Amino acid sequence: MKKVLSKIFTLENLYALIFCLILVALVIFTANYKDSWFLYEGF
Amino acid sequence: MTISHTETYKNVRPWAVLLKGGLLFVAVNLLFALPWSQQLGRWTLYNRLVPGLPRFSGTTDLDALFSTHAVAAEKQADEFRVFLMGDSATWGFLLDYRDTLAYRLDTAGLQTCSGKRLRVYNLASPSPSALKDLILMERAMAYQPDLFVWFVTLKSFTDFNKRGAIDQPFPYGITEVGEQIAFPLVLNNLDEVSSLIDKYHIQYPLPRVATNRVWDKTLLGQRSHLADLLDVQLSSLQWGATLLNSGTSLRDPGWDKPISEKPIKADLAFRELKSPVDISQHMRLDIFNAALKAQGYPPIMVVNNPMYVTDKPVKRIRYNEVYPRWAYDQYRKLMLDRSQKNGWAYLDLWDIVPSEHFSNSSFHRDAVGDEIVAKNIAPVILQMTCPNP
Repeated sequence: MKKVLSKIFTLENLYALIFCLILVALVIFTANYKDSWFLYEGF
Repeated sequence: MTISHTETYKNVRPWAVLLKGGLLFVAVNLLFALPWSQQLGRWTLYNRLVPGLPRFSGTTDLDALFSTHAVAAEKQADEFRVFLMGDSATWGFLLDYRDTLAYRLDTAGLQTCSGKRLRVYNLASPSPSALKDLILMERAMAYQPDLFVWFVTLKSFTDFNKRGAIDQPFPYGITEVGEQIAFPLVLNNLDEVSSLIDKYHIQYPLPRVATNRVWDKTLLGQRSHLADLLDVQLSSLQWGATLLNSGTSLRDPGWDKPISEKPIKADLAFRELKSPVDISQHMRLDIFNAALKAQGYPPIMVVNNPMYVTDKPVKRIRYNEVYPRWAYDQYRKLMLDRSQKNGWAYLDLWDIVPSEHFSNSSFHRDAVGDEIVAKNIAPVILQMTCPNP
């Protein structure tokens, strides 16, 4: 068990996780969504 | 996560980091395609860490719309819940929430004859549409309303075709739809709209779009939706710290110009109708009737919205830039006739607010305008909360 855990919790995997989270954040924070806010037109 | 102290940076392979990170990203994408992510809107800080919002935010996620609203807080035993439905005029466009009709009624200390406190919630959402209001009323039923007060105007019922603008396209590549559904809150919830119109046997042509594709449910496919949800939740920090909700976040290029300074065309046109016709042929009263006859709904009081009436020479043929006299007079007569015939609780407040108390449009009232409406409507609401002797 200890061996498995030491293979999962490596510095390399931590960097991979951080890289993945950066990608997720980029995808969400660069999304164009304000256009779908209340469209209010000349009522 | 604990990292072995014997490991050094030398053991980190850059290509493996990119590969593993990329694979993890693909896995996260697929995880989002599972059903749990469709209910992310229910996860909220509002009504927990910070108070619920006094009116709807701009999100188009119906779960988030309600879970962030004060109405999602638990109903108290001595509470009589009144839900105000309608468009931007009731929502309080350009008004601080403390100046809105709902807030004024909510803080007026009103009590029913059985001693319950009247709690008035603003469940209006910008854009006039009876179908949009019905969608929100259906959802609002989960929050135990005792009375709906539904603010309408002629434009709540008309359904002329509308094309998406180049800078504001409709979602799913839709190019043209009826006005009843021509805004994101409805178009982004077409599955729910479809179920609703089936339930109430409403004949309404919905655009045929693939809303159930796996790709649309992945993280990448939902990125705009997630950004929208995140924005609403992050805004809770500002709301919790300042309790400011100013009502100016809506998009309207003409917001800063008073309606009295805007020109009014001297013609008879009402949308694409260029001359007088039978206006009832262009109104979706079937949607209205479906709501009024809905099983299990509390009583509904219908209010004809106050509006700006011009004093310019054009007043001979038009009330304002939206309505020519021929169309609006027909509408008012029709609503009065039908309310008497069908026994609706109906209040016509069309000219109750003087024209100087409208802000940027013929329907958006200023703070004094909402105070006038509150004073006129409070006794009628109280009357409706007490059973007939």
